[in-house]
Amino acid sequence: MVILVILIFLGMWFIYSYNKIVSAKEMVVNMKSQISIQLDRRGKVFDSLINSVKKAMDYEKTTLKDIISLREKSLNISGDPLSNKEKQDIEDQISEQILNGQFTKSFNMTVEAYPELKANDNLLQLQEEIVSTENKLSYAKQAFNDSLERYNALVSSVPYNIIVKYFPDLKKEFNYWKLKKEEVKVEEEKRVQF
Amino acid sequence: MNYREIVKVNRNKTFIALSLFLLIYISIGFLLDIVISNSVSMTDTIYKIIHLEQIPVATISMFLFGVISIVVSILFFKRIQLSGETYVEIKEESKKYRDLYNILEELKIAAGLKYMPKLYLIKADYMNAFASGWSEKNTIIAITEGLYKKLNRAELSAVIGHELTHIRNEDIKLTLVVGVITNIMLFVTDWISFFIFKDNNNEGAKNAKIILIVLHFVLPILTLVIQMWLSRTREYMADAGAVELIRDPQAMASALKKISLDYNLNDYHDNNVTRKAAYIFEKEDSFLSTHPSIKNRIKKLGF
Repeated sequence: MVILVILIFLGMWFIYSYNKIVSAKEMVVNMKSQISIQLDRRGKVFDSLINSVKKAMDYEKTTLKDIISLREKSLNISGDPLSNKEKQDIEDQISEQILNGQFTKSFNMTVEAYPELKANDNLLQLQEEIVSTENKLSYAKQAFNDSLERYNALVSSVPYNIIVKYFPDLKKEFNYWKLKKEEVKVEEEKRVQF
Repeated sequence: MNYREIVKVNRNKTFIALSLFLLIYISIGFLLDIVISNSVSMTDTIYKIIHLEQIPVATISMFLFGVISIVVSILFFKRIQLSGETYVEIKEESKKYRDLYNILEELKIAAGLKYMPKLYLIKADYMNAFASGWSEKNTIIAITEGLYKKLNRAELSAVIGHELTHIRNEDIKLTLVVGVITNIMLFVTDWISFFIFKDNNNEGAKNAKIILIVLHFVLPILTLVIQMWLSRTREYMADAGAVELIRDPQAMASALKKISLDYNLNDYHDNNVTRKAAYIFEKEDSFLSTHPSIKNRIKKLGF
């Protein structure tokens, strides 16, 4: 009777420990896949973000350039004097350029105001997304390393290492995520340069 | 202790708190039944109830009242916790407060959580934050606008990490349950006094009334004890959990410093009592407060 109770107890203990190792191992596998998920995300997000910001910057660059060159023409810094008709045409073009921009308030107010430039906002947003995306990636790596540490510690600690010995399926070699030696050297020497 | 063990302890505590609460309710109901029926003795009432000669109206209604108040608070925790302030939900697609959403998403990855808590911004000047909820899919983190404006990105990460740890450790369940229990308990003690003056003077009723009078004074103390039992260590653990996620104790310490300094400089009022126990920071620093002092918390972070 006593032996039976002990056997049942041992069986339950075994099932509990076995499952514990399995869940720790699967955790590592899942955390590892998180890294590639975040890597994939980074590639896609950066591509689309940079493209859209570039587009906006290009638009603003050409708008400003056009206005400035038209303004130069109308002021007639060099060359022959312009007729009234020509001058009027250029002024109209400038107004049109300005009105095409973000301002939709009254015409009088916007005559000499340049279209509101959004590039700065866009860049700030881009910066936030870059920081966040990089953080997500490194947190995924951190979580993977932590889960691996837990798994390694579990399968090498006392009762569990015996189970692992008899069930080699439970033991799997993972490598901590880290840079190679040469890469560490390169990264160490990096400095911010303007 | 890793968080799985903490979760286990917290689940047990939640269960014990709930059972204790219901037990107290039933006993109060039973005592009220004795007073109402003007019983000769306690055993007489028990005998009558068992033999279906008397329906224990007060016991049953107190029990139902207890269960309903728990269920209601679990179902409507969000409204209870956020009530009294205007707030906005920050969603995945919102452009404003984008960084706040990003930070939460980052820390969710760091914590290996499988679900995303809902994020709310409370439109208030004071600096505070809390997490609440019951089941995994139904958790919220709320942050005041004052906090959002006055902290930098690293400090915001620390605060959100703190709240996320409360969620991961399942502290929120216990906080929610105990917050509701204590508030209703105080409400019930007021009720009791109404029955104490009832003019039923048989032996049993008299005894029951004496116990009720004692309870009237003991229950408020008991609620304090329960709140203390929530234990301040949970705040330390949440601070430590945040540091484990962001690996930056400096940010956690400076966030706490900024919050307490802000509270010292301003005189903020918040009337929502259930929220108090859930906050990251509590101003009153007596030996009865649910939160440890900022000084001690910063010291534990190693500064």
